[in-house]
Amino acid sequence: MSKVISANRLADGIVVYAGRDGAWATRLSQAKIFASKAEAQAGLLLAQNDAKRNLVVEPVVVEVTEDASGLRAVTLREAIRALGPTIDFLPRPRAFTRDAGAAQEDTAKQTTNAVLRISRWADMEEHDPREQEFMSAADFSGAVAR
Amino acid sequence: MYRYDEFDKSFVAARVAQFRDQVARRLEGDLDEEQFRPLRLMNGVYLQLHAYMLRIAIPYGTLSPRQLRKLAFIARRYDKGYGHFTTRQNIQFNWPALKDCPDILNELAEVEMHAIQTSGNCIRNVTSDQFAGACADEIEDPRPYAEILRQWSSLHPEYSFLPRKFKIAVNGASKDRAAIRVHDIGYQIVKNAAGEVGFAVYVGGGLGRTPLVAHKIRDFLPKADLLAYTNAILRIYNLEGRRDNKFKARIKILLHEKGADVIRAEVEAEFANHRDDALALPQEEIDRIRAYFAPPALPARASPSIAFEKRKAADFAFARFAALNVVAHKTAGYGIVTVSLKPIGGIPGDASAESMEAIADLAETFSQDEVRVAHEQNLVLPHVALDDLPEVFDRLAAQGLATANTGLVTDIISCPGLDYCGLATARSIPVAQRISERFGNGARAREIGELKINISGCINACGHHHVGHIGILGLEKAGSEAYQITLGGSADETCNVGAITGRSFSSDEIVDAIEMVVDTYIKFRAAAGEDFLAAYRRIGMEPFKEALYGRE
Repeated sequence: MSKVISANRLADGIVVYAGRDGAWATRLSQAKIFASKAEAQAGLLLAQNDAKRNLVVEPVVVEVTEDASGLRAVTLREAIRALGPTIDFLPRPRAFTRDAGAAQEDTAKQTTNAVLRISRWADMEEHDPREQEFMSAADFSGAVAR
Repeated sequence: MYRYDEFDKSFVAARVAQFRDQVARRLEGDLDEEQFRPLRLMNGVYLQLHAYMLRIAIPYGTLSPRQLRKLAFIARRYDKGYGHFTTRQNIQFNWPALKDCPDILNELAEVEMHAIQTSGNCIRNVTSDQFAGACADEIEDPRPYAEILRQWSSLHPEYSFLPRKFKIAVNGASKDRAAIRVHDIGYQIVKNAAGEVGFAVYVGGGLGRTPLVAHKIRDFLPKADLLAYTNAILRIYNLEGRRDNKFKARIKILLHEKGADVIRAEVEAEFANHRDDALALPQEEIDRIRAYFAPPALPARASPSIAFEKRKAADFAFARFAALNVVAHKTAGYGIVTVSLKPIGGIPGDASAESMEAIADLAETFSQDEVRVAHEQNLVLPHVALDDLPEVFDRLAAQGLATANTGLVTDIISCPGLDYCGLATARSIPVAQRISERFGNGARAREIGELKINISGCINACGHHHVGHIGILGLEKAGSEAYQITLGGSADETCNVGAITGRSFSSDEIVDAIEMVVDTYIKFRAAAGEDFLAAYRRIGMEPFKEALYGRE
């Protein structure tokens, strides 16, 4: 089993991994792999330096395995950290319908598909929660209507 | 509702400026994480699995449309377009950037909201009945007393570093909708023999790792003594609560270890010795605060309402909504409407910015500018004329907010669980979604009747599973999620902690197991009118154990 170093970015809390180039990456697939416990400890020390440099908080060693689809975290908790919540949490724009029942069914169907898709953590598809970022403050040029 | 005076406004503004400075210093490195963590927690900023989380206080669950629209704005601008209403009537945002938190707090300050004391070892949000000030069964509105406690407990210098968090709830009807018996202090409004209104005092309730039902330490506390008595309890707790062991630091452990009679005597002695005049509540002060909660002037409406009755007769979905989601208002011709945040298969307690704005609009037009947050993670429109209910229903339905399931099997209370929370041992939300889909919102759910399912993703029990009619606790066993079932819990005035059925169930098994429990209830119930809790209390655990585990 291999290891990677993970942390949360200080400024926004987003999950990051110590990358191969010395920077922090947002995807597990970009993480630097440490083959042994000793190497991982050395990596952790470097990461703790970055914590002191106010880039990240709470760096930890994370167990990973590699399979056909790439790097995977071993524990469910770390898999969820890598891939985001296993639920369809983003609100969907409502389609106005006359019939209340149809609207409810629609929501239920969408959620069912999401729930079925991710009922086992091993089946979780790689998707980057950052891609789903609805809006961030950076998207606004200041001309926001309040 | 309570409006900040100039003192409050300038205080909150100063607090935001202080936090902005603290964040800037943290980002620049003048403060390290050790130094900064307690400071950010004092402003409700947690670090969770994927991101920071901001918990915003909604005092005793009361919101104005203006405040709800501001929450929607924050959801859109600073988060991913939604928020989560919690089991303590607060709201949580799951994706705020730390660097944006001072701006978010600034936005909140504009509408007299904040995130102070939503974390840390201090007195937390004082919660209450979501139907307060409107329900027909009320003795007196509990919210003025919740507000008095809020003002007193905000940044109290003596109680900012308690052994552990401290939670107070106030209930004003004989039916306990505020779960006061599982709070550190629960105040129940009562009338004494002379017809005076005061409080029965419950102390030492709580959930978490060691669920305990509160003890009543006083049958009747006069209103004027509310703060002095609360102060006495906090003094004793602050002095004697255990600081050596985080898991034994709540007041419930103090009562459990020393005995309720001993603690009662200590509190009474402290109360008698330090009956501080400064804390006595003169009637004028009580009246001043109560004035903020004066019932709105409701235009007289015909009762029965012709529009309401006609629509019920013509539309089964509306009739069902009226039966399940509308309860009696103290004023004839009006009803209290529960807006379910539990669509079938949905995430319990989550509301999109769009939903929040739709509900704010409805509150403004149809509910006297009031919205409430229930600890069951639903919203409430407390003052709706029955004449207007058809239109309110139609507009809710257009937003997918008209699920008629209050108190039914699909009205599930669930913590965020391992999908979000750094403390969790298992996921809770997907289990809630699957259970909801299994039962749906048709005839079967109605046949089952009132059945409260609570799900917690770890032993901290933020989903209040110990007091669910059916409780589900998510644990980890050998690297996989495992779910333990409890039965027969109750959070109301018949409060008790649920009993564990036996060995836990896997993620694949749990929904079938819950269905087995429900089917067993249906099989053994005395009549259609005997709800799950009543049936369980009559027949006990055995039939359920046998159904779940057979001859294991």
